[in-house]
Amino acid sequence: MAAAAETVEKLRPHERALLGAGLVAGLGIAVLPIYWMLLTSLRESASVMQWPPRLLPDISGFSLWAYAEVITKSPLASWFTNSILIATIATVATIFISATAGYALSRTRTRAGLTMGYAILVSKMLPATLLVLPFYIMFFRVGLLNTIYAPILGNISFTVPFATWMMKSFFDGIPRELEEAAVMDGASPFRAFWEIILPLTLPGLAAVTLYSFILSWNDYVFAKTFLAGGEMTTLAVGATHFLTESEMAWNKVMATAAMASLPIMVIFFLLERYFVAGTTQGVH
Amino acid sequence: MAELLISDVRKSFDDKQILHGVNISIGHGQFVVIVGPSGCGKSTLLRMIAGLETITSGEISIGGRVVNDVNPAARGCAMVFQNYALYPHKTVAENIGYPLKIARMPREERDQKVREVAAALDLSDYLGRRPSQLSGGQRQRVAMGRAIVREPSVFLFDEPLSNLDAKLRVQMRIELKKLHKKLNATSILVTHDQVEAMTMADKLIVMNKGHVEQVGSPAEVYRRPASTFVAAFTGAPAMNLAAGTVGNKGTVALDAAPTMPFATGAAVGAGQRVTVGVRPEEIVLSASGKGLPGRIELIEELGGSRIAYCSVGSQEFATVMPPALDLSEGDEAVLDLPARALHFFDIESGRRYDA
Repeated sequence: MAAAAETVEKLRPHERALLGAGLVAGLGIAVLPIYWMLLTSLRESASVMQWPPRLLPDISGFSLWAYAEVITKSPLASWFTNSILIATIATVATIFISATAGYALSRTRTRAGLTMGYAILVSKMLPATLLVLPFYIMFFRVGLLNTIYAPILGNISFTVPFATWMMKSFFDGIPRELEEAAVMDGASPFRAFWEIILPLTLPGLAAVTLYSFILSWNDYVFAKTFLAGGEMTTLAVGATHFLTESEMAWNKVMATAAMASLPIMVIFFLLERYFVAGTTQGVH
Repeated sequence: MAELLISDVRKSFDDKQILHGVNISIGHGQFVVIVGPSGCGKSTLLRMIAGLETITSGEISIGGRVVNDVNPAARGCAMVFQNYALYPHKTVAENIGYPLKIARMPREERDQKVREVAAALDLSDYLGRRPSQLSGGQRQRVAMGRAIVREPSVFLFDEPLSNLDAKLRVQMRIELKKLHKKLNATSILVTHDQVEAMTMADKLIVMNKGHVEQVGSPAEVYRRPASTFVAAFTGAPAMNLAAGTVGNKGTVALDAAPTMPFATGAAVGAGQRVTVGVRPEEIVLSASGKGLPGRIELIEELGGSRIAYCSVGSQEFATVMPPALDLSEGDEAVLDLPARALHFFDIESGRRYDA
């Protein structure tokens, strides 16, 4: 952080102005959809699709009607519960698998081990839409369709490859001598991993948690395909229930989306300090 | 305390053989230094003693017990790693106390032991700090503390001084020796630095390309190197080596000065091709008189002494200049190689001819 501040100080005034303008533009592009989402969720149905669209709203026209409708007249609690369960279980499983597999990949000296690592990475290149059909058949055969386990397993298959490689690169940065020292001190290989090595990868674990949770939380394809709908679906799919032949209630869609963003923000704020800790913690 | 026996130990990684039949015996309480260039297999051998590498063939015994298949922690060894391998997220006290925690020592007893060891190593004021808050020398002492607290039979040191600056290295060398005397522990130290090796060892093991070249006290290794490798590896500057042919009547003539034979003082057969070795401090350099004619190419000023690099024909010799000798670079000089100071090695194998 200090180095970055020093770099900025060295810029000339017009360069700094350009940098500032770029940051504002970038921020604007990132924040605009969120802003529009909140704005739309607070509008009456009549004013949602007005043309031309008004960026700066009339505050007197704000209403919580969409929120009330969604909370009282739709199975929001059920969608929330399903989303929380799917994202949490998928994330916990991903952390467990990617940490242990990433460690094994990092420490393997055999060619077979390295080949397995590349195979895992190649599987990441398969898009969800390609995997959906074979998964559907598999889940149907074992009776997992219309249960939360189907999208959980689908999401895990998606998050694990990249998460494993992310954890591998964190483990690569930790010298083998550390676990060797622990083994010399009397620790079993597992204890050395659990007590000595894993705590040093907290930033990696935080990154994997966030990556996996967001991906699973926002998943549409697996939830739409493997769950029946109605009560038995997630927030991502449930939000689109308000776009029907008889009504296109974008304000309700946005209200659902706004409420669905809250857990992500909570998790991000909880994990943020681990990202920062990773840049300052020295190993040697 | 243990005796360590390494019997015909070999090590291969895939198809590449690193160690070729190493045989070493180490007595109780000895400070043994294994020295050799990078890649000679010394660290691999140390790790095999520790149990961090498997043994392809051969046996390692500690205290009369074969430890080939014994867990590292159960061998009675403690190791100080080159980069110290301190646990970065634990304090100094937790680092030193970790082996005792694993051994399920009660907390009070553990804390007491940690305090004792820390006091002995001058670390009492740093017990609450993390490794990143310590200097290099302090980190090294913490690593030693973590080893000492286990009260092992054998201490293993993997290039422990290589990460320290020159001044600190000298200081730590002395501290390590003092500690060794105090604990009366069998210690094995691996280094590539021949000065470290010579100053610290009771017993020196010189290794090259997976073979043991020579085992002996530093004085023996220095005065009677068993091969040209050992001769060139020890001493600063290293021993001068030149090709020559043994003539009649106990003389030898260097290829660089074939018309100027000198006395050998050694029983090597006439006509034999040899490598002649002579230490820089044994050559008598003068302005004129008996000896090989040469020319001073370079003088290195060391403060307490001067090293002159002289050319005799195509051969270069390093010599220690007598303090009173008033010669400069470019001057002609005479190099006398006394018979008693000559070493003879087989020109093909490099092995020493024993007189």
